[in-house]
Amino acid sequence: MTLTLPRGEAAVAAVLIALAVYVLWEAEHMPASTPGQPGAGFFPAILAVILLICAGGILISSWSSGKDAAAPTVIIGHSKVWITLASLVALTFALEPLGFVLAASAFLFVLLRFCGGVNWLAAGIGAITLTLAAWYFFTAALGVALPHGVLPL
Amino acid sequence: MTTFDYLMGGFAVATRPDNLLFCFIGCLWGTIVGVLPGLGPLAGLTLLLPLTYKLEPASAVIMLSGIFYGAMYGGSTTSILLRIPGEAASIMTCIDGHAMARQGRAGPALVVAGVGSFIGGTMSVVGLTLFAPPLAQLMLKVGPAAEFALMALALLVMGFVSSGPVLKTIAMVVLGLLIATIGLDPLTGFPRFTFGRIEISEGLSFVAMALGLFGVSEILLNMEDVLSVKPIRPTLASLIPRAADMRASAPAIARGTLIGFVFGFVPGISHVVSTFASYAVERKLSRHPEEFGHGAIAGVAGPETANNATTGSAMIPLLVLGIPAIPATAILLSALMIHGVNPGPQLVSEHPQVFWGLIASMYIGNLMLLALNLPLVGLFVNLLRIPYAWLAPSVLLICIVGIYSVNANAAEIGIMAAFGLIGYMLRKLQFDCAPLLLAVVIGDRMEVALRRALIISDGNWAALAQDAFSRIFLGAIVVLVALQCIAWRLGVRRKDLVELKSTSEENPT
Repeated sequence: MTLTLPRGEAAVAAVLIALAVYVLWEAEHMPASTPGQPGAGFFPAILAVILLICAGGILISSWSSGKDAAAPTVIIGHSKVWITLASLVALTFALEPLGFVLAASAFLFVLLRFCGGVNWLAAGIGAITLTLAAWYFFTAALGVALPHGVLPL
Repeated sequence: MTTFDYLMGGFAVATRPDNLLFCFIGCLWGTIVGVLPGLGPLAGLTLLLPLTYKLEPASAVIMLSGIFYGAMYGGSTTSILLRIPGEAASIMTCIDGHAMARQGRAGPALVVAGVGSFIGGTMSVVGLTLFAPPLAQLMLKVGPAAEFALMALALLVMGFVSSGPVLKTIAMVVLGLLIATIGLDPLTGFPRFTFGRIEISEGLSFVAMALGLFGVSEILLNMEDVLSVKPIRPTLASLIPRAADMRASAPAIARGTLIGFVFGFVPGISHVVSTFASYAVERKLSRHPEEFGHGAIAGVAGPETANNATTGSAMIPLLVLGIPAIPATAILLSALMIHGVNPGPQLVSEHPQVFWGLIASMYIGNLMLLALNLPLVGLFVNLLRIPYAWLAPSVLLICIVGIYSVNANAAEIGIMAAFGLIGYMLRKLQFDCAPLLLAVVIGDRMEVALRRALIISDGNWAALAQDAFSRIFLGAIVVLVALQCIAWRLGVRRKDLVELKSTSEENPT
């Protein structure tokens, strides 16, 4: 996805404004503050107001610089980025049921093959070797508890 | 007991065989992450942070601080041999360091960088030894109002000296402070922004956030632009500098030490800014300014010394005030807090073995790094042969094991991935994530200090400026804001630093 920097900044500012409004709404529903007894919503509400001002400023500044035809562009989301993030999310769900060795091997294989362009065989051997090395190093040498999952390790 | 006696006590802690080993591991890992482009001290610290949980506090902080100053040494190697800054503080070294390497003088450039780093790092630790204890005594008198004003000042300074526009940086600071409010209210125990989930009642995992914002996002950014490098390989014999090189470097090293030490106190990106300042001073004072950019050895000695000289002084706000000046020290702060050690004025008296053990280990670590970096430079250069296709998955695997080892909770991998995506997007759109992380670390204390001050004064806001310390800090805030408004009014732009940085990154020859 290619977009101009001002447009990207405007998108972030919009998200921050939405966040600030949500914080203000939540803070309103927290136990009431008195002048001598600031409550739980006191500090977040102050922060939300400052965030609104800053995000508004960013929005206005991106609006004016967005009119410049020579505004810099940014490319967001190379396919490798999405593959890596999707693999991390998949690993989050697979780690405990499958165990570290199976889940991490699959994770590494996907990254080596589809992001690194390593050939199938090298990616497979590399993924298993790296995972087993990490397993024995972290569990045996450092005493880190990693999930066994379905493998009787 | 005198400072010397305490320091000797610190050496007794730091020279224990286990602590010497942890110091060595930290220095070695720091050098490695400094050498590898795309992995700076921050990523290096966050990667090993979870593995320090089982260590005792002194050992953990000795190892982590070794990574911090070790990365400063390692960064010069890739700058000189490849013209790729291993980490941000080595950008200026690229210019003359690599020019020297192309003239067949990589050896002297590496030696001067190593010796300068050693002198800057060691003198900075001497400053830390001398200044930290009396400053801690002084800070014991600071009440909650002044504590709040000091933290607000630190965050504001960071907003002004950060590489991004002020509004964007302040927005990141406020976002960080808001993230810090997630979980139970520290004063009343009321759950805030938890969506009824008990798992986040203690807030979002700092390690997951740090690993995501700096470890994962760094890898995602590097995946898009993988570098192919051919390093220049110096021989051991070529490492001997000429007498003329040493004469030309000595004043630059002295000035770099002073500049780095002073800049180390400034919150934000002090270690990077100090190298720009040192380079500018050396060029200004040189009898041959035309040599700068074409292999002037003072252009290597000054900035390399300065970035290492910030390491000791950057520890002073962390250890004495409990305020991290730069993101790397924010990781150290969180490590100390995880071990139940609260940095601040009481640290010197309540945990002398941690405070003095850390200081003593920094003397030892700087010596280790000098011994590591010069003879083994060829070995470290070989690390650059590891293809990124293999390096990136390996680093991610360490992140995964690291984050899982903290709470044995796979959901934190998802949080890390989410913050990796947020960090990637923000950095792509030129929002600086470092102030966000710093704000997360001190947010809790800042809120408690403000609310306590208001409770004590029965809601009287004027009480925030009643004692001398508060007035000094609030006065500094007013002056800073006024200066910034004048700068905006006059149309002064702070783009020089960013442009210089991007020029040196974009034009490798």
